[in-house]
Amino acid sequence: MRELPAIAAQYTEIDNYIETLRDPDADDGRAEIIEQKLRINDQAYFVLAWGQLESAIDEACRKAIRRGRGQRDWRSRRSWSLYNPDDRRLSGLRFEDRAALVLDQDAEGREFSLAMQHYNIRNQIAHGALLSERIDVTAVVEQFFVIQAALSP
Amino acid sequence: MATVLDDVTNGDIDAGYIQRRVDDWADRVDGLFHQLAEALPDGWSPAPSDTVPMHEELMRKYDVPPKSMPTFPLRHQSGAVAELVPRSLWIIGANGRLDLTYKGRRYIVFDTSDSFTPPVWHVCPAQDRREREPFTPDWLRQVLQ
Repeated sequence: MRELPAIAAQYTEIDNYIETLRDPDADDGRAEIIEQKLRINDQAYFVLAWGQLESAIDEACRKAIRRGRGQRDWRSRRSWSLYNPDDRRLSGLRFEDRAALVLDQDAEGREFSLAMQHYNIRNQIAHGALLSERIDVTAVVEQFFVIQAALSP
Repeated sequence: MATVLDDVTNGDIDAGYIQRRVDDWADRVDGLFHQLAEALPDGWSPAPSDTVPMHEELMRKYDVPPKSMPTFPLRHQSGAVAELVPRSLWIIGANGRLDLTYKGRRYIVFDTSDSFTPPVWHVCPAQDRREREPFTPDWLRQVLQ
């Protein structure tokens, strides 16, 4: 996730620029245009940032699979053999399963459910249904780092 | 503990829930303004409050009526002004946000608490969002002095 700080910094730069376009004397229509620009900027950078987290989850998943496949005991190894860590799509593992392999679903910190909620948001945006809510991308990036810290390859 | 992320991703909410969230936001903002008003630095006093409309998408979706939210303008005897304005309740990553402007600088004030828990206010300069610190009357006094 080494690009994440740069993504967050550029988000802030653009967000602040859009804020400068506000005109306190303008009508509500102009204010709504500015709000829409801010929302679109939020969501564009959210999806960019998400890509960094998803890549980190995939990488942790590959490590977990390699470790599992390397176990000496076949009974421990056999389930991991179903997955190919070198496959670009990780043998078709859907995101929820990839996340479940490297995040404890019962952990007190609820990083797994947080990742799934962000994944749902990402899907909504990426599939064309933009959100009408704002996203605090700086806060979300911090959450992504918390999720990354909880990854257990 | 629920968050705005839960509200946005959870279809199992209703108008009553949204209304409670709006009322809770109004109470938190009101509490913050009162807390700040009682600890202003010398020379500063609250100016007549304006209002900003609040009618966010989840309110429209569940037919919850718009609400007028108060702003918190401050005036120094020298003529300097500062203003704290509620911006949004439903912002993913925070439990509501206000903007503070003073001397051409903008600060983002946000509640990091979960829904329906006591507010935990933080603030950061708009120019550097990673410089987050607790938003307290002491913080405001330092900025205004």
